[in-house]
Amino acid sequence: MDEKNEKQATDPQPAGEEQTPVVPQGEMSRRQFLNYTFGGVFGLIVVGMLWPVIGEAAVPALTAKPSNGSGSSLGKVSDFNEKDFKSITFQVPATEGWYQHKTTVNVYVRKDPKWTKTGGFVAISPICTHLGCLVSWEPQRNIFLCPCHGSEFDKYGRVVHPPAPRPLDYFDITVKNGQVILGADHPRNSPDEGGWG
Amino acid sequence: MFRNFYRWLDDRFSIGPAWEDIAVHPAPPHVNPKYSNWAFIYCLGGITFFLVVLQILTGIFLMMYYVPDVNDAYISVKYIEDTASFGSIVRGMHHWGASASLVFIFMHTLRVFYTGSYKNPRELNWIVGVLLLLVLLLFGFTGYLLPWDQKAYWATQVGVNIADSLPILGPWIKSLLVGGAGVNAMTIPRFFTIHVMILPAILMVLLVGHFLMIRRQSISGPL
Ligand code: HEM
Ligand code: FES
Repeated sequence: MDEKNEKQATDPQPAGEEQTPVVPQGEMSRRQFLNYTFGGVFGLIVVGMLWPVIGEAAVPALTAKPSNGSGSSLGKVSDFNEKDFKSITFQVPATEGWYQHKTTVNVYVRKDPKWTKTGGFVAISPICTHLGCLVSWEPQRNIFLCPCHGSEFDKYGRVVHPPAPRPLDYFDITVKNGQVILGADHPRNSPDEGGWG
Repeated sequence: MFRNFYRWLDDRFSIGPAWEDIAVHPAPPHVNPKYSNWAFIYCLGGITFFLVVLQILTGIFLMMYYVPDVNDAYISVKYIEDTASFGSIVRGMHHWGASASLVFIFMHTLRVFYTGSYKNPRELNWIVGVLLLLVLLLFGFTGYLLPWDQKAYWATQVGVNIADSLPILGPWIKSLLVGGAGVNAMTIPRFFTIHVMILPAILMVLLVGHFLMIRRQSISGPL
């Protein structure tokens, strides 16, 4: 630190060198006016710089739509049985910024007369409700198992082993001309929600 | 020769006093290994700084081959690893340095905690230190995605879904982080920008503040 400079800055102004102007009540001094003007212009410049860059980073991110396979055919009714899940994967077009490609959608499907609301089919999303890894069906143990932190789900997607907090999502299913058609995705908050009639 | 050059510089810029101001500061006995067997705990911050400098150096040279793009990220890292001369060494230094710098910043934090050095008058430097720890963690998180292999993809998936699970703001934070509805092609250049531009800029500012405060307040006294 330069001591001389510091001293000068803190010393009181020598008398007579600058007269404090007399400002009428309710009016602004010249200095105040300049300070406000300068502050305002400075603020405008800062906002003018940040507004477009923040918008550029945020708006495309917040408005992007996830692609899903709603409306796709999963196969014929006779392709499925009650005992075992069939893992269906198919490609759907996806747009991610400038990148247009096909992304893979994975659904587990099984017949089940108890799920009348979804046309007698159980269609389960393999996206783990814990932190989003992909579960896979283990036929020997009759569970869905998540490789990331070991969550387990039963044949209706209900949690049988934590840490998953909610059942796996299920999909609406409609049958048209013998084809099994995938519908909307349903997140579930209570363990007994589902396609029961 | 060097002496003459020094004199030439010193004549013009009088660097002698400036250099002394930067470099000459007698260390108290409790941080001197000659007097205390525990002096080494005062090296942990310096080691962290050394490792961070190493991360910057190796990171810059990784950027000569790495391409932050869905189609090219994985093969460019594979090229660094398998083909580029010394590539696997530079990548190895960056890879292990990432973990080592976190181990050392954590031990340095413990040292500051156990010696009570965070107390008055050094509260502000403790706060800057916590921000530095956070910045290093974010370096690790954003760098981990860049190789775009299975481990990178799923670790990032899990990480951003932790952010997603925050109340109210969670889904916004996740979308802003990944640049879309989920981890996608736009996430790679985004994490890359954060990893090699935004975080280094923040790191520099915090480090300058950290070191200036240490010079001003000097090292904390013995226990
Ligand atoms: C404390 C600072 C840093 C930490 C903790 C860190 C951490 C990481 C990690 C964990 C990876 C993944 C590497 C792997 O899995 O092998 C990575 C990759 C990368 N980092 Fe950093 N990084 C740091 C600073 C930097 C800086 C300053 C730059 C550039 C200016 C940089 C450039 C890169 C690049 C280009 C990659 C991709 C290449 C690869 O994956 O091997 N990093 N970083
Ligand atoms: S993501 Fe499936 S158990 Fe954590």
